[in-house]
Amino acid sequence: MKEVKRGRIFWMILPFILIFILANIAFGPVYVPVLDVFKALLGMHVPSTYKIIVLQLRLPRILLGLGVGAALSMTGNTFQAMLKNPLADPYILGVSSGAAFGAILANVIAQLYYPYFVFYMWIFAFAFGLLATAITYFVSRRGGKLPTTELILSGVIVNLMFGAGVTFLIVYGWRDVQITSFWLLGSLSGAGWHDVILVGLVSIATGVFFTSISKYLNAMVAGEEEAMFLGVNVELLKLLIFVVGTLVTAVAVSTSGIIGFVGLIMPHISRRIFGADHRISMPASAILGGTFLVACDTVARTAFTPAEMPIGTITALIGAPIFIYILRRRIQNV
Amino acid sequence: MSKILEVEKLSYAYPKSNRMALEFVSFQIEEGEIVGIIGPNGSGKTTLIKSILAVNDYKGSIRLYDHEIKNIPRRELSKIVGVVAQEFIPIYDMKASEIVEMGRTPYTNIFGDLSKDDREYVDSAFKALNISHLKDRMFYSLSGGERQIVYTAKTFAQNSKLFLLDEATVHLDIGNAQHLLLKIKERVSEFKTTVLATFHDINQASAFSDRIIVMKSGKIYSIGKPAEVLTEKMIKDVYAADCNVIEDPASGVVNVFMNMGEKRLTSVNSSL
Repeated sequence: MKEVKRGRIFWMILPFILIFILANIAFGPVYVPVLDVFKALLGMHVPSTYKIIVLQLRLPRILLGLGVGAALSMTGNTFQAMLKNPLADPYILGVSSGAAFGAILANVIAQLYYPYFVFYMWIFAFAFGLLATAITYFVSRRGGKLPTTELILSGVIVNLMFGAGVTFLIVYGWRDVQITSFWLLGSLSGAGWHDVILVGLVSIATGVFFTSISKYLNAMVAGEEEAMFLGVNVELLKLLIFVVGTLVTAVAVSTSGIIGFVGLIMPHISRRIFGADHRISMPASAILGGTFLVACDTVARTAFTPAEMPIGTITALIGAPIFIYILRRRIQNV
Repeated sequence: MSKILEVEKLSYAYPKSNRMALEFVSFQIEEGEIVGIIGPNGSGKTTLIKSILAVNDYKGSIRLYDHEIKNIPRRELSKIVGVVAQEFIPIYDMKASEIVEMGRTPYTNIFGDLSKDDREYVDSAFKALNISHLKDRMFYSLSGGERQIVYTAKTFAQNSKLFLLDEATVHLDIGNAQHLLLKIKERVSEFKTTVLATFHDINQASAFSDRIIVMKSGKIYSIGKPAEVLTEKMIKDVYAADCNVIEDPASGVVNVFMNMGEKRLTSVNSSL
């Protein structure tokens, strides 16, 4: 019965979380009173400058943060169950940097040779994301298992490799090193409605998919064979997770660069609060991941005006200590 | 009685070394029977269990209710066959009830919602094993014996016709092992469940099983009632061990005693 209660807690706090997320719209170079934010959102009468700031500048950015955070967090949660490793996430596995490399490669080719390549950005991001995952997976695999040390080490190498590739391509293509920070540390600046729609649709579709495989993810927590004994087609499931997880990461990275640690720590926190059952932890990690990223973005764009801190810096400053905590705890348990 | 499982000329070679793990293994099991499998380490016991689960790519034929196992969709197979292996080790700590609910995976809808029926199966699994008080406990706060019983409850909730136990009692003390095996026996007589169980401990196999299959280097050495199969010669041939086999006059159960011999005893005495 308690499991039902945990689910109920989640649905009860959900409206408050949504209000919190929207309240973030108030903050920025110009402060918009929170009440006016909600008035503008509801289409009520507010000064027209407020209307433009709220609806055209800040709302898309916040929705993008929500979508990207949710996508990364759900992907992390799914990868962790599939790989039987609570430290797996799209950033650690190198999917994010592979996808960033692919996106930039398409952009550079478009810039220098064939302009229509810009339309292939998603495909390139997806393909190189898959390549990076495959490299990490096969380098760290030991007899059908992914030991933590090997996984982290090979993830670090893949990240360094594609990170260097990103810098190389940017300097080669644009003779400008500034753009690298957007890609390597992420940013939600320049979010337009078309990004929001793309990320939103992909995140929602992914969310439905990941939630619909929750019972299989539950069955996977004691290993692939145990899952098979419960009727799970493990090979098909793994393939789907890899493809869908990489696809959604590629879309997230293409719009907002590499943002680390969200996919790692938010599933962990949601399991701590709501329990390990994926039927609850999946939607919960989506909401928590989105909220976390929106909050980090508010800090990133307001605390250091007129400059903007790359959002990946904030997530790393918060995420790295939590990563160390999980790693230490895991070593003690083993 | 009707046959539930027919294994015919089952062979399996490890993919990398090409070493034969099973060679032309054939046997049949009737519905409601309890069959034990014994044999030394590496004799193919676990590989045999895995073949019956269609986890490996075996040669020969394994027929479950007259259907070749390989051709049964995995979800359907999991409704008929349930497994209790040596240990259940989830990466996340979960409630005992969440673990037992996993047993309903093959039956629930796409979002994994439990129906009233599903909840009844979960409850009756807890009741059947006398562990209703553990429902809300976290799995890793339980003792090793309790964990194994929760794991078994998950397989009970799966409501399968054929139980495969793969050394399910190997990490349990004698009290927990007895509790588990007795509860499984109860289920067999109540639901006509069939059991195929590998054992590390020959005496547990002897007390538990209607028939015993003895495996040696991937082949069946002998098969029959415990009293027929468990002989001093078999123990010597299969396990390379020197043992005495004695029948308990009260229960008729045959037991194997390791023979430490006069030599060993005298050597201890002489050192005193």
